[in-house]
Order: sequence, then structure tokens, then C-alpha cells
Amino acid sequence: MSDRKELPPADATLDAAGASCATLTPLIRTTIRGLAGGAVLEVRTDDPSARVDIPAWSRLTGNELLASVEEDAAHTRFFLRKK
Amino acid sequence: MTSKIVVHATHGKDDPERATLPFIVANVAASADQEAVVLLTIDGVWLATKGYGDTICKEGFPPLREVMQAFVANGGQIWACGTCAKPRGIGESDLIAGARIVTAAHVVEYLASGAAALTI
Repeated sequence: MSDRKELPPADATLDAAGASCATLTPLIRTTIRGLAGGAVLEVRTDDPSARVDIPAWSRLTGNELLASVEEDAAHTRFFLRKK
Repeated sequence: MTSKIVVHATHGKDDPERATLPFIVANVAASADQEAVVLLTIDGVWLATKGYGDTICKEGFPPLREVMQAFVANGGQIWACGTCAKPRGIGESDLIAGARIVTAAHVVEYLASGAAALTI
């Protein structure tokens, strides 16, 4: 799930820098709501806890986590496909 | 995978952190397609009234008003304990959108049906 060569093309990008566990997944929910089914949303985060929160949100909602890339200790890119 | 979750809040302006955090947790649940309820009891029932929560903001937290509005927009429900609301003079006409007064039996029935409860 972390091979850059296999990253899916994103239909939309959410820059979620500054978002914490209190606001991150609600922000993703709001953003993905505006996309068509099957669309891919790239989420860029700078909160390490997102590495726990986003997979959990994916499992709960059924919006598939296609890939994630850990850029450094804090920054991560997630690719979610809207169900 | 939808579950029912009740987050219990007992504080108002006396403790902004305890007033806000239940709505943050419940909003995360509602944003994850869970059936989420914030149950307000004791002085927490004031949070269900118009204008009361508008100025509550704990440093480092999003403003309570924003969280409550997002929670309701995400399908969340706000339940104010009737037993606590009545002696405070709070009626249905005093409540914000998305809030309603409930009875103890209603809450018990909801919990007995499988809802998980979290007190903050």
C-alpha cells in the first residue's frame, strides 16, 4: 500500500494540514460527499495519528483506502475511493 | 458497518472542554456513518438551548458551535434529558435544530437495543 509507482490517479485532493483527530475525518467526510461514486480522493495530512484514523474511517464507512505514502515522520498521503 | 453510539455530556459553560469533547467524538462517529447521539444531562442540557453554546470555545479545540452544527449536518442527534430540562425551565421551544427532549425510558430502550455508551 505504499509503492509510489502504483499510486492511483486522484480525482480530487484535500490538503488537511493542521487537521487533528477532532476534525480530520469529518473534513474527509464533507469533501468526499461532493465526489462521484468511484472517484479517488487524495488526502494530505501532517498529523501522524491520521495513520490510525483514516484506515479506521475507511473500514467503518466502506470507502476503500487504496494506498498510503508516508512522506516523513508526520506527513502522509492517503488515496481513498468513494464507495 | 453501522453501530449506535451514545456520548454522554454533563457539563456546559462551567467546563468548556467537557462540553465540547462529547460533540467532537460524536461528530467523528457520525462522519463515519455511525448512528450517533449526544445525550445531555444535568447542566449539559443547557447546550441544547438556542445561543447557549455559541461562545463556548476551549483553547486548542474547534469552537463548540461549529462542532455542533457539523454534528447535526452529519445526521447526529442531540438528546436533552427531560428530567434535567424541566427544573431548569427548558422546553422544546428553547431547543436548537437537531435537539429534542427525551425520557429516561427512551434512553434505556435505546441502550438496551445495542447502543454503546461513552461518558466524557
